[in-house]
Amino acid sequence: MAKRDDKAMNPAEVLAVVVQILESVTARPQPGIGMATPLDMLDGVDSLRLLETVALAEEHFGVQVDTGGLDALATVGDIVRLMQYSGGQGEFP
Amino acid sequence: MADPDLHLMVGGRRVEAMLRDDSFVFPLVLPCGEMRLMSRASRPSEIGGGADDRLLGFRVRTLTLVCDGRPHAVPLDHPALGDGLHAIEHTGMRWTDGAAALPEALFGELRGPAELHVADLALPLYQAGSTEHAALLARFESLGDNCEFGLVQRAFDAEPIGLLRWASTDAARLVLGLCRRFEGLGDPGFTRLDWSGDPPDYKLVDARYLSLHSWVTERQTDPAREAEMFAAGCARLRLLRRKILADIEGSRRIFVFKASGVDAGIESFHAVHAALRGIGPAPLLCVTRTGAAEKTGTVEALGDGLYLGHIDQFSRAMVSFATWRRICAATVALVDGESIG
Repeated sequence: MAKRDDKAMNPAEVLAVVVQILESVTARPQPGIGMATPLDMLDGVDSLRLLETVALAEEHFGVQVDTGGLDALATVGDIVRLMQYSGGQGEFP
Repeated sequence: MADPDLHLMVGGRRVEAMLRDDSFVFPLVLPCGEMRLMSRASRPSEIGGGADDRLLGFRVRTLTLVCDGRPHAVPLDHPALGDGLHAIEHTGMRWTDGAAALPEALFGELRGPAELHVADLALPLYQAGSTEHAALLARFESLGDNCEFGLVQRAFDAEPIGLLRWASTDAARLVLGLCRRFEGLGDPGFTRLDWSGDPPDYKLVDARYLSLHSWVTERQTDPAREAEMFAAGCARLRLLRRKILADIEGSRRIFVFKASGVDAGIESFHAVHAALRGIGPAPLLCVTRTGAAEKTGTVEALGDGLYLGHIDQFSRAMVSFATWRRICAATVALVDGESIG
């Protein structure tokens, strides 16, 4: 997948990339994912696939997340926000 | 929450219950080594349930093993029962503390397919979120040498993320990794994807430092898919490298090294400790096997954040869950005591 040129991160765009990565690491389609989707409801996603998703998303967006936030990820939206805030848009809550 | 999450841990494997005639029924094949009856646990005094300050899991009224269609009742005052159970009540029932050991001695010479029937009562309410056990175990992070401590954390519902939680290593490779700050970890040039083990899964191997489970247990026939897995696995290693370094620097966790074989000596513990100190101030618990019953479950403070725990056995098939928990609780008491002091 192509890397972004700009640093502005629109949540919908970040979500689309995260879903694409989730489908890649689980090797299966992930329909109907939204920001509020719990990570433990996703088909084929365990903690290792989750880490791979975060790691590949980091590399896609060219950011480095605060690893202290990894244990608290509960929804797909948490990954999106982690990327946004790691991209210079404030502190991850 | 009202769900007691009652389940059995058998050889590191979680066995779910079926509810039948007011009993929780667990399918088994005997012999299966030591089992542990696990559940959520709370203190009634903390959930508006009275003055009882004990940590209560599940109240057992009867414990019955059904083998060849014949029931074999296990008396709740059986001398092999005790670890993870409170004293027997005047009603004849007995509370677990959330992790009750069911030693092999309870089941005598019984062999073959069987069912364990457990009755009768959960607490009406358990504290939401982490139980005490989960919160305790989540304070630790494994440094190897294998997955046993990761299984202990899972048994107590603690699922912290860590580089070495599902990894194999040894003291020499661990020390090298710490001293080099795991330089190059996740670099495709140092990494390979292996299909190995019994049962097999894909493993990420960096021969310098470690071998790591992927828990992908389906052999891939498409090389492109294997390449995707490899790329994702390498990215995961790079992320986990940053995380372990930050966790050590920030003293976010108590690190645990399970020392067996040639690594079970004080020189190895000091070597791992010194390598850890090269990165940051995080406490280190080294756990080694002891043949002395009185030392089992105890922890010694060796100074400068180094602790030595003693366990009766190492085994991924028959994990000493309760002893691991005691060691962790004792370590936390020492660490927190020193922090306050």
